[in-house]
Amino acid sequence: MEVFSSLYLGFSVAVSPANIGYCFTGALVGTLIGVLPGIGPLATMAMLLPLTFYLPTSSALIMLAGIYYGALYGSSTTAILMKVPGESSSVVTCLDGYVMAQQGRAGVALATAALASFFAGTVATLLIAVFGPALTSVAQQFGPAEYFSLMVLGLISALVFTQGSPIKALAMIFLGLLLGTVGADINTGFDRFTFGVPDLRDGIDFVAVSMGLFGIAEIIVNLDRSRDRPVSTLPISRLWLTRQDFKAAWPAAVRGTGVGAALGILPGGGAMLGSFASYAIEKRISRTPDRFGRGAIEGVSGPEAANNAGAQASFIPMLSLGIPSNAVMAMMAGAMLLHGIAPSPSFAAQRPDLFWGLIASMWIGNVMLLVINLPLVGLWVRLLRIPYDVLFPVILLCCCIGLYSISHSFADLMLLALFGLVGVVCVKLDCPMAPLMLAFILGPMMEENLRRAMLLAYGDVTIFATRPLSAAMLIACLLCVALLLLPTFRRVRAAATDA
Amino acid sequence: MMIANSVKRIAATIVAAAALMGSAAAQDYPTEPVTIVVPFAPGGRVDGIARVLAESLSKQLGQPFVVSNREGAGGSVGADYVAKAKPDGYTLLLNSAGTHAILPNVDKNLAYDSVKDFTPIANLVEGFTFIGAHTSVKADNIKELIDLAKENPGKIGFATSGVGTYGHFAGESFKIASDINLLHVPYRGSGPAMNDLAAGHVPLMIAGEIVELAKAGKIKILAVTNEQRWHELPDVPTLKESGFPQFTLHSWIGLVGPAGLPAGVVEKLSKATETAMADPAVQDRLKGLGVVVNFSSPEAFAKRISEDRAAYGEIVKKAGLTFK
Repeated sequence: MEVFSSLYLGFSVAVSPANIGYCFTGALVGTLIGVLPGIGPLATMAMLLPLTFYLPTSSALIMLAGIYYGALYGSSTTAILMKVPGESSSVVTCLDGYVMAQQGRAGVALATAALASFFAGTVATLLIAVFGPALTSVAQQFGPAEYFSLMVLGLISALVFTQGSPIKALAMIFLGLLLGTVGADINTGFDRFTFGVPDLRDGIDFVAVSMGLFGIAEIIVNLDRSRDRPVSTLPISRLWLTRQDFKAAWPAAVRGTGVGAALGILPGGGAMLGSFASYAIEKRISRTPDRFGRGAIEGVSGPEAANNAGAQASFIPMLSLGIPSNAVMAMMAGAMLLHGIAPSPSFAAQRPDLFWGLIASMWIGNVMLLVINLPLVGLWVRLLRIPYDVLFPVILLCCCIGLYSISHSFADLMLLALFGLVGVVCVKLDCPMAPLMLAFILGPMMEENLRRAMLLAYGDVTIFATRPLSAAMLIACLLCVALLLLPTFRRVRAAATDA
Repeated sequence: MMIANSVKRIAATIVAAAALMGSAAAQDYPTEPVTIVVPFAPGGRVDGIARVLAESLSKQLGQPFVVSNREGAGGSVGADYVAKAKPDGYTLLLNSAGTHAILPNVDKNLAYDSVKDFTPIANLVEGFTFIGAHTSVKADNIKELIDLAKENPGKIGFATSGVGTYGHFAGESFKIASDINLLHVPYRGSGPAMNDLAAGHVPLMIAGEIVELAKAGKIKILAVTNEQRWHELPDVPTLKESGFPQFTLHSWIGLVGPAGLPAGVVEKLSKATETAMADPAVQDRLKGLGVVVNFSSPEAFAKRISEDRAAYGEIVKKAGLTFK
C-alpha cells in the first residue's frame, strides 16, 4: 500500500494553495489555447518556460502539465461546437461531435467529452502511480547500452507514428540529431560547431529552439493564413446525458482509456494516436457501424477518453526512465533541467515530493477542468473573438523578454529568430517539427550513452546485441520499420493523416 | 596644446575626485543591493553556499545580497561576466577551483585571467571529494584498488561528473601518483553517473555527492581525496593516509570581485565573511552541502589561487590532457 502513502504525499504537495493556483492557471491557460486554433500546447509551454524559471520546481511542473491536458479539453470544445479542432488529438471528435451539435445535442456531446476525459484522466493518474515506480526499479538495470537502444527505439517509433511523409520525418530527426551535436564534446571537452561563440559551448539553448520552432513559427504561419475565423456556433442545449446516452458512452470510454494509455506509454506516442485508434475500434465493434459519422455518442466518448489517457500515460517514460517520449515531454524534461533536475530513473526516489506532487496535481487538474469547462463553455467560445492583431505582438514580445531573462544572452535571441524562420520553412515544406524537437533532446543523450557503452566495452560493438534488454529493444526497432513497410499499415496511417 | 593640457588637468582632477569618492564609498559600502554571481545552475553545491553566505551578509551589512545564476561553459560564462564588471563591490563572484585553477589550464579560449582579472576576498570552504567503488568491486581500500588496476590496466572505469571537473583531476593525479591506468568515463553531471555507479555499470566514481550512496549502503568509499577525513565517515582514510603523502589537491570555493576592488571594500567584505563562516548555524548548513568551512584572508586566498593554478597545470602536462 505504498502507493497510497506516496499518493498522500503527492496530494499534500499538490493541494498547497500556491500549487492549486498554478495548477488552475495551467489548466485555464491550456483550455484557452486549446480553444484558439493555431496556438498549440507546445508553443504555449515553450513561451511559458522562462516564467517557470522563477517558480518553485513543483509549481513549474504542475503548471506546464496543466497546460498540456487543459489544451486537450479546450480543443474538444471547439471541435464539437465549430468543427474546428484546436489540436490534432481532437480531429476525430469533430466527426461525431459536430454532428451531435447540429442535431441539437451540443450540450450532451460536450458533457460526454468532458466526463470521458475526466474518467480517463483518473484512471491514467492511477496507472502512473502504480506503474511509474515499478518501471523505475526496472530502469535501475538500464546501463548505457540499454539507454542507447531505448532511445533509438523512441526515435524510430516517432518516425512510425508521425503523420505525413516518413521520409520528411526521418530528415527532421537527422536535423535534430545534428543540432544536438553542437557544443563541447562530453568525452574530450573539445568544442564542436560552436564557431567560437561562447554561448554555444553548452549546446544550442533548448528554450530558444523550442520557442522559435513552435512559438514564433506558429505565429508567423498564422499571419500567413486567412484571418477569418468561424464565429457562429451552434447553440448549447441541455448539458446532461440521458440514461441511454450513458449506457452507450461508458463502455467506449473504458475501451478508449485502455487503448489511449497503452499507446501513450509507447515511445513516440501521445494523445493523438490513441484517439484515432479508439475511433477505429469503436466503429469496428459496433453493431451499427453506420451510425458513426452521424452523431454516435461512442464516437465522442471513446476518442476523448483515449486522447486524455494517452496524454497522461506519456508522462510515464519521462518520469520513470528519464526519457521524453514526445515533444511535449521533451518540453517537460527541459523545464526540469532548467531547475537543475536531470530526468532520470532516480527522480522518483530522490524527489518523491515532485514526482507524486505532479501526479496528484494531474488528478486535481482534471477535476478543475471539469469545473472550468462545463459551466463556462459559452465564455470559452466567446474567446475566439480576441483579435489576433493584439494577441500576436504580445506573445512575440513575451517570448523575447522571457528568453533573455533566463540566459542574459543576445546570441540566444538571434537563435530564437533563426529557429523561428527554420520553423516557418518546415511548416511550408510540410516537415513535422515534433520529431526534430525529440531528436534534438534525445540526440546528445544518445551520443553520450553510445560512447559510454563503447568505452566501457573497450570498443566492442556487439555489446548492444549481447545484452538482452538492449537486444530486445533493437528487435522492436526492426519491427517498427517492418510495420512502416507493411502496405496495410501504410493505408491506415495515410487515412489518419487525411482525417 | 593649451586645450589639450587643460583637458588633461581636468581629467586628472576628475580621476582624483573619483578616487576620493571611491574611498568615501568604501566606508558607506554597501549603499545598494549587491549581486553575487554563481557561475553554475541553481540547486548545486556552489549555489547552496552562495545562498547561505548571501543571507548572512545581507543581515550583517544591511543591504540585500542577491544570488544571480549565470551558468555555462563550466562556469567561465559567469566568471567572465564578473571579470568585466565594474570594480565597485556591487558585483561579486563565488568562484571555485574549477573556474580559477582548472579552466585556465585547459581552456585556451578562456576570456579571463584568473589571477590578474580578479580581486580575491576570501576562501570560504573546502569541498570534499571521495573515491567510491560499487560493492561488487574486489577492493576495499586504495592498496587493493591499485593491485586490481595493475592486473587489469586501463580496464577499470572511473566515472566523474565531466571532463575538467575536480573529480577528473583528482582521478588523473591519483593515476600519476600510483602509476596505474584507469579509464575515465565522463558523465554530464553527477546524477546520471551516480545511477550507473549504484547499479554497477561503472565500477568507480570520484565525486563529492557519492557520500549519500555510501550512507545508503549501495557503494563503498575507498578514500577521501582531501587532507582531513569526512566527519560522517570517520573510518575512511584520506589518500594521504593511504600512502600518498604528496597528494595535495584542493577543491575550494571562495568569494572574489573584479580586479581593482577598493581596499576598504575588500576589508569590509572579508570581515563580514569571516563572521558569517564562524556562525555555527552557517557551518551546519554548509556541512549538509558536503563542504567544511575553511576561511582565509584575501592574501592567503590569492596565494592559493595562483599556487593551485600552477599545480593543476602540472597535472594537465603530466597526464597529457589536451582539450578545448
